[in-house]
Amino acid sequence: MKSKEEFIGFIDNNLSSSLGDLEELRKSIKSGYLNWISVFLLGGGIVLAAKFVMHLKWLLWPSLALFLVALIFIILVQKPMKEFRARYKSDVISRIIEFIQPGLSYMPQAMISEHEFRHSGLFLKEPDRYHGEDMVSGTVGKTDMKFSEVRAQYKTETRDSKGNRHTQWHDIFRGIFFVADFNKDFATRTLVLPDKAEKLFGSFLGSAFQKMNKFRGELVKLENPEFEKEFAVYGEDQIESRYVITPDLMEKILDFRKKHRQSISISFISSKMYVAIPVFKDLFEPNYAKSVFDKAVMTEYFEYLRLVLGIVEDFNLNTRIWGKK
Amino acid sequence: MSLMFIGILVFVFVIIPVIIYNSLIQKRNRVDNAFASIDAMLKKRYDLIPNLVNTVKTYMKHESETLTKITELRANAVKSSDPDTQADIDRQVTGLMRNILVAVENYPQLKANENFMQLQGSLNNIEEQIAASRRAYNASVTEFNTSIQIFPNSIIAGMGKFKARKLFEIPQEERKNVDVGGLFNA
Repeated sequence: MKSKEEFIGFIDNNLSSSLGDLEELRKSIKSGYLNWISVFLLGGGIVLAAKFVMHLKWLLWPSLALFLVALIFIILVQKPMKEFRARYKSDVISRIIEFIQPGLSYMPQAMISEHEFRHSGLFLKEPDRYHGEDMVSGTVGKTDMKFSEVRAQYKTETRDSKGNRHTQWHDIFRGIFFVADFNKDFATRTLVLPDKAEKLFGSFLGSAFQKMNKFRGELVKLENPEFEKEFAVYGEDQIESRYVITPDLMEKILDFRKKHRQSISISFISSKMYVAIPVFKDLFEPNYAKSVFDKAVMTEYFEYLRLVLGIVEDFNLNTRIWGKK
Repeated sequence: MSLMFIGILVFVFVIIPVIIYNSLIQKRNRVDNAFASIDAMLKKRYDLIPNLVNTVKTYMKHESETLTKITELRANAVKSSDPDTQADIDRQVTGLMRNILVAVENYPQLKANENFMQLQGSLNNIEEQIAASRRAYNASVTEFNTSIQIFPNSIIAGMGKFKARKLFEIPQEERKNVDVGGLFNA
């Protein structure tokens, strides 16, 4: 896997030289934006001054005109912004992916389907709203994999004293959702979830609480104490869960957790592996305020992509010695 | 008042012991069940041995002794029903199997054989499943042993003659790394 230093070199030697046009486009959007805002502020200032200083009465029409101007601006700015965003994805994000792992396909509009998200069994709550973007798919070594940004939410409705309905949206999951073909065949489901109960209540009470969690399946107690402290494992078959989660894989999951300081949830179902990595912001989006040459932004996206694409290597999914092709 | 007292007595001396007793039985059955599943996996592996021997014998001229031995061991394993001899045979089979798979490195033709590659996959797979069922067995034994040792379960366990079970230990020769040089001199 490529290192951060190599990536900086790649930016300097390859990427930057082709981003001149894109930067021009960003600058023109930004300066256009600033011009329009100053026009709007000036107009607003004049209207307000007319009202409060000169006490004029006929302000409806100027306000309306100002509102129209704002509307036109919003419509006008949409198109170049859209173009910029699309070009940013194809000129920057797509090339970063190509740099880390050549041969993958990147579709900015596509996402992991809601069906697959539910199928993973990682989240008990049914989403009322589901969307996502930035899907990367392809084969890394011998392993088919794909991932995308995903946001799944559920809603709650409350009524205030006047009887008005208020809808609130809550995240079930927001972040990167990864699916890969696992290197062993198995029929039952196994879940590896961050262990909240054991951290809160200690090992004895915590595991009593975990046992009550019957929706998930049976609690599978594994022999690695460090792993048991970080994760709770639920399975439908005690033996098959251990067939999937070998002592070696436990070490690998722990290493991944330590290396990236990321809380992850993993599910193994129908010979596939699903990994949910929570990220609380929109990734792979351009930042209009910062130059496209800004290395911090690109490096951040690089780090996220490397982390996810590294899963195949980190978990040894390319080792195919158990009869599965 | 006295009715309530009787109620409490019944609860403490009848209902609680029955609950504990039943949970111990449940755990013991789980241990037996886990043990049986190790057995099932081992049988699955024995079923692969004739296949393996047939596939490799035309190629592996120098390993004929090992192949005869493993075939014999398999026959004994199928016949015997004593758990200790079975465990012993199993250990030897595991060792020989490993030797064969290492020796394959010397036979490039065999290594490229489609049949053999498939068989190797199934063997690795079975090994992994055997390891998994042993670990599942150990987990159920640990749970059972803990539950008969903690108070007040220990009283019920003593009366019901529940005995702690032994954990499945990984035999010494499996912990050692395979001695490749020694194999080929043999």
